[in-house]
Amino acid sequence: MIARPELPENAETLFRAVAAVADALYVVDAAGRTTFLNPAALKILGYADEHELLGRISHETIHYLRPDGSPFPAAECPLLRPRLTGETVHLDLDWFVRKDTTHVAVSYSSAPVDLTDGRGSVVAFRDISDRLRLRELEASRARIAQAADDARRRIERDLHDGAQQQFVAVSMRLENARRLLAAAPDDAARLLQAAHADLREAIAELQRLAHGIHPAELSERGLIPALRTLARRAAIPVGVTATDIGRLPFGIETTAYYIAAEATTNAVKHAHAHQVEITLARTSQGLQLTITDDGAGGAAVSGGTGLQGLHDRADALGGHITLISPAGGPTVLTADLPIIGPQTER
Amino acid sequence: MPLRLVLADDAALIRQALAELLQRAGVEVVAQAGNAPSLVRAVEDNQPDVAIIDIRMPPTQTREGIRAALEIRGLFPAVGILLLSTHAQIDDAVELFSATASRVGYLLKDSVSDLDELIDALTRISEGGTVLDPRLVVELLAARRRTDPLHALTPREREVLALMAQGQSNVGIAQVLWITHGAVEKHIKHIFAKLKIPATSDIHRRVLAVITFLETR
Repeated sequence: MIARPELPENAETLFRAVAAVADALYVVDAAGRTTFLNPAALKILGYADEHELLGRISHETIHYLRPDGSPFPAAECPLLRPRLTGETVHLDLDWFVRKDTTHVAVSYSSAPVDLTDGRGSVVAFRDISDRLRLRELEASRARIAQAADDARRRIERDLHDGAQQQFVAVSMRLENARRLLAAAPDDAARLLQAAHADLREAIAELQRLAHGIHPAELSERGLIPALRTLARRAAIPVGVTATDIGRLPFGIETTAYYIAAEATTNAVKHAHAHQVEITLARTSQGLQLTITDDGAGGAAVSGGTGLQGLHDRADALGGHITLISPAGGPTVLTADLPIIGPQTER
Repeated sequence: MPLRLVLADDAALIRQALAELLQRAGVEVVAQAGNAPSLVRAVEDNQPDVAIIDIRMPPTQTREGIRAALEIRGLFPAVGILLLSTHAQIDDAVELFSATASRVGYLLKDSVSDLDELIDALTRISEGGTVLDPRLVVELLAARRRTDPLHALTPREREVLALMAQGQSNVGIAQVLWITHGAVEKHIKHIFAKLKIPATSDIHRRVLAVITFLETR
């Protein structure tokens, strides 16, 4: 055991005792230097040896960057207050910087402690990454459920305003035609012709609606034929490049299809792109889908609910979405969707 | 002699309505079937001119119709085949046309309510021709492409290409467009050269070449 003259003897004993508990713990002296930390703290912060941290200014080592990468001025640090004012602080969510400069989500309590050279503080903290992930997962599930509810309402409205109205009109025309049949057969024939035309329109409308809910081609022929049809019907040129990826599990094909469809719609509607390139490839983990457009760029997952929905869909499969969209474009959206378990042939 | 047909669709309502429509138009519906095995039996028993087959039938409601069609083609090559589909799926048409050389057609189901179009298709198939739904052809022709090889075609050549893709013979194209047979041949020569489609004489091979060309650009 190295003697630490900064710590009073009773404090050292106390800290050694808490070193064994699960919570991570460290102590800073009046000048903000780390003078003690337990193995749990080392582990969470990603260091192998306490000497990499002992004696260094704590804030400048593990707290100097915010999660967005901007500097975190020491003067604004809540962990300064116990030393300055003697108060105790609790924070449910903050971020420490690990040795490899990645961030780790933590909750902490910090209290003042009297050391030989003045008032220092002791910080007990906890890695809350799992809890955060869980919270994000719950939020994502809620959004997916909400999106499904919205979609159902939209379908109901489309059915009611579209096909149903047309069927009602046809039914009335047929009834009129029946009444006119004996007295005015020419009028009846014209009405029948109109009813026939309306009905064909209603059928086309129903087909568009059914295709929007789930393209039959996707389940019958698979992802690539469905994407080629999507490309053919798009308002701008859409290229589909794929190696032979075979049939994939239903969830993967459906999610990949909707990601490609939404990204293509965004490229046309928001980015005013002139062309879109969809690329599919098998990776060691699963499927990688890339959608590139030559539009205006500047898209963000937080910017529109559409992209958030794609993110949630990928997330629900244990996959993720990466969006690179500088102002001025191009926009590149990559979805990595893992294939878990044995591949099933349907 | 009237055309003799076998009808296969698992939706009894549509099957019966179609049978009534056809019979009123002077076509003889000799048997109806609600699934693939009974369709094959009905074709064997009746040896019709054409079998009209819904692509989606039980048990999986995916491509039973295509499989049954190819089985019938293998067993009774003289029987014409018209596949009906609810959805415009290019790959279904390609699968059908790749497997069999003539006397085949692919129409969207709602085309069937246009009786003239349906009778025309049945006649062409029974005479050995090939029929592809014009809406599929329009979709293929209308698709936007980054480098559109169709730019090189004149409007007249596009019309000829569309009719060719639908399975019209040179004589048929000449009639529809009111041009001479020689003019049609000249247009087709130009189209094949401009699009680098291998020139084939067989009408069916021509359809397949055109679809494949349009689909893969």
